[in-house]
Amino acid sequence: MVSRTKALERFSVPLKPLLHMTQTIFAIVALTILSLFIYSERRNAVQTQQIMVEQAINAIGNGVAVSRLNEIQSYSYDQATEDTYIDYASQLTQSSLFGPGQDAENDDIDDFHGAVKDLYRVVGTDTLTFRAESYVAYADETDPSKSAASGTRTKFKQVTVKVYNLNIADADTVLLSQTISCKNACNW
Amino acid sequence: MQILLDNLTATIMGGAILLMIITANISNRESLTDSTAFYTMIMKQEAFAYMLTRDLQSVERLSSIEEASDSTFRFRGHIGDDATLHTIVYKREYVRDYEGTAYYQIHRMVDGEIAGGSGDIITNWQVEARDVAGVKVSDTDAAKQIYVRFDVGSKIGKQAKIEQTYWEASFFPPLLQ
Repeated sequence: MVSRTKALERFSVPLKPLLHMTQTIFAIVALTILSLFIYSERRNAVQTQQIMVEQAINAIGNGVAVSRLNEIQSYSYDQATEDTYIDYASQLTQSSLFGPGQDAENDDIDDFHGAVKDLYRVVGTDTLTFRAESYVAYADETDPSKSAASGTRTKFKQVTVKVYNLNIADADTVLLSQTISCKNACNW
Repeated sequence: MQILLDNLTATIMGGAILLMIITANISNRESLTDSTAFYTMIMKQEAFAYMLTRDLQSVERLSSIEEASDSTFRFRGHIGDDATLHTIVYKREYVRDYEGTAYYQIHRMVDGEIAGGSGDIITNWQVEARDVAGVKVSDTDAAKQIYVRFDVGSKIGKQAKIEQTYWEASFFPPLLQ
């Protein structure tokens, strides 16, 4: 018959290294969890900063789009209305002829259809390049927020400006649209 | 002795881990506060930019070629759909300094009544009348464009570099052409 103390002594020899090993395993697991936690926190912080930078760039891009839209709408409604009034819609430029090559210079709104212009903005020591694309289409006379039927010439043109950053791939694209009226230059 | 050593090691490790978790948590909270402040700033900036866009497109006559000595930029223009001419004034007002940067608020006044503004996020405000080529004019009669730039900053954030941005645009009001 083995006494209780002897039996314990017999077990205590293999138990000690096992106990130490368990502690080491716990420590490794704890450190791994901690590392993952810190990594995840750090990644979140970096992502937040990244989104904030993108938002800041989008705000600048919005200004670029507003400028471009304003520049385009400062021109004459149509080549035909540049210095005179017109009485018929047929006197307006056909939408198939919209674009930069239509006349000698860009002097009316539809000349900017399909135009691409790079605009620059300085942020700190960096120069950001924004590409502004513009599109022009006739808008419906009864509901100027809608495009006119194909081939129809109306006294409203819808100008759309699309601006995106060429330096940062993930930055949002800014789209601004405005309907411009022929006003008194179109007598119908 | 072994038990003491084990306990000491466990305490040191546990303490270090706890400290790291607390630090990460504080950093996370700061980041959250900064981003909330930033988005609030961006929203205020967008609202102010929208207001400016509407007003500056409808300018008929400028009172000065840039911000006057009383920190105002005054012009006459059509706002809304009616044909009435209104006097619109943008007045810059100092609010406070934060980490070495002065913050301002721009008040918008229509016919003497306060009608909106920027919120106290403005760190720089520049407005000037320009000619067709984009060169600053010396006389309001020569003005064809209005250039405006305002910088904004978030007052809570620590990394001011990222938490500052600006909005810049040129306006070509049809009635000035």
